[in-house]
Amino acid sequence: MNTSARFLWIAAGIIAMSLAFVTAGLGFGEHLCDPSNCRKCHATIYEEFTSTGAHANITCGDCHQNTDLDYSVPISFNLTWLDVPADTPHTAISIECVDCHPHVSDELDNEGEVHTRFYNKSIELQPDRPNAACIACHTHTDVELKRTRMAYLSYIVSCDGNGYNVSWNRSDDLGTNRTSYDD
Amino acid sequence: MKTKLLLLSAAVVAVGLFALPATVSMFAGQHSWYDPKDQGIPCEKCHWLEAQEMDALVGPHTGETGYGRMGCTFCHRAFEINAEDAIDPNFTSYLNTSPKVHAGQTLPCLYCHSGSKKGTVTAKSHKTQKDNCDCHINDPDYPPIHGETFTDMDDCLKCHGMPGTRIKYIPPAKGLGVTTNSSDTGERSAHTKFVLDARNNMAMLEDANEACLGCHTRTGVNITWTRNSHVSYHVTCDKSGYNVTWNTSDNLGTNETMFDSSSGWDW
Repeated sequence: MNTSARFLWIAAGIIAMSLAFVTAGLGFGEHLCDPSNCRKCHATIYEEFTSTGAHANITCGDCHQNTDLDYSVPISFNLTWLDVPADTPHTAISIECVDCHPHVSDELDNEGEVHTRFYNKSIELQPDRPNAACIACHTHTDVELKRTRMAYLSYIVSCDGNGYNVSWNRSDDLGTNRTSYDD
Repeated sequence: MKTKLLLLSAAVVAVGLFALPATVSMFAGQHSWYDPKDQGIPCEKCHWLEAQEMDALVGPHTGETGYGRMGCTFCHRAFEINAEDAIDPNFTSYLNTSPKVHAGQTLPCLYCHSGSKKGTVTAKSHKTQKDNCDCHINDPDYPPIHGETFTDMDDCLKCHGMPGTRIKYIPPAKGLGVTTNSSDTGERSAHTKFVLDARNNMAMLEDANEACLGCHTRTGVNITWTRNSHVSYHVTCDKSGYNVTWNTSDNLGTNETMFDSSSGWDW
């Protein structure tokens, strides 16, 4: 057996052992699981939102199986046997933060709000992730920014018999918005 | 060869041990919400450059009163200022916007610095010399000011100075003719035009902020000057004496010489 073959056998063995532990547990408790127990698979997320911050007192279903929202989710069968409303989505849905926080849209439309472009651009760039901007600011998730700022204020100043005339030097790239801070 | 084989195998295990958990945790924290009522939203998360500047310096807004730097919301969320003493009515629109801004707004520096008075608040308002701001926090006869935005004494002191002395007015930017003080005409101010041109150019920063920042912060300023190269006169004399007039036909004596005076004062 050559070296490559040995390596492949060892790698396959490691993978097989890993899968064996997972597979061995598959058969147990098949009839004991609670389908509403999101924690079973999403333990990290469960720990996060039940231990911190603004949503600590709500449940997964409050957002991800919200029956008050019209997301046109097909109801595949009657879920009354699960003691949940019949129009409850079968599995979780991803809702938009503004569904429950509608005032935010109005506040972001305020012309004085400096984060409006960030929010709108975020949706424009990732229309399938409309909550990205909300999550970036309101959760502990990491945010990586590459920022560009003007290096200095740049003016053109002249004077005549009436005094000084001050105008913004728009032809000065470094004085407008061309200096990048990659730190 | 066996050594290579062992190393390769170790690499496979390492991928499993380190790379996979790292992948799983890529989106960690998305369900760990900040509580706006607790420590608020940390602006520093994205605006670390500004936070570092504010933390590093000692000066206006960064600890000159001895009580730490002002929080971001001091400037980026409008709050009520006593209209009688401290704010130009023209700026109340920043407060009365409906709906409110969601996260942050840019206020004119003059929103706070356009008042009419300087120094300490008069004895009429503060008959006894208090060591703290408790009256505005706990006494129902003196409700919290600033629209109840600030209820912590340290927040009060960051703007209004040390305890043991009477509180201070927010210093007005007097002399430029932009405060509510009727004696402040700005008539003899050499920088009034600079400030007013900045105010009238809304393509730049809010109100006259760029003029304020140009002088009061360490941000660089690059000015391309155009100045007259000399003073030019017409002088005649007659039996009554000399007659002196400004030579307006002399280009170099009026406004034709350009000095590309990049100052290099960019720190």
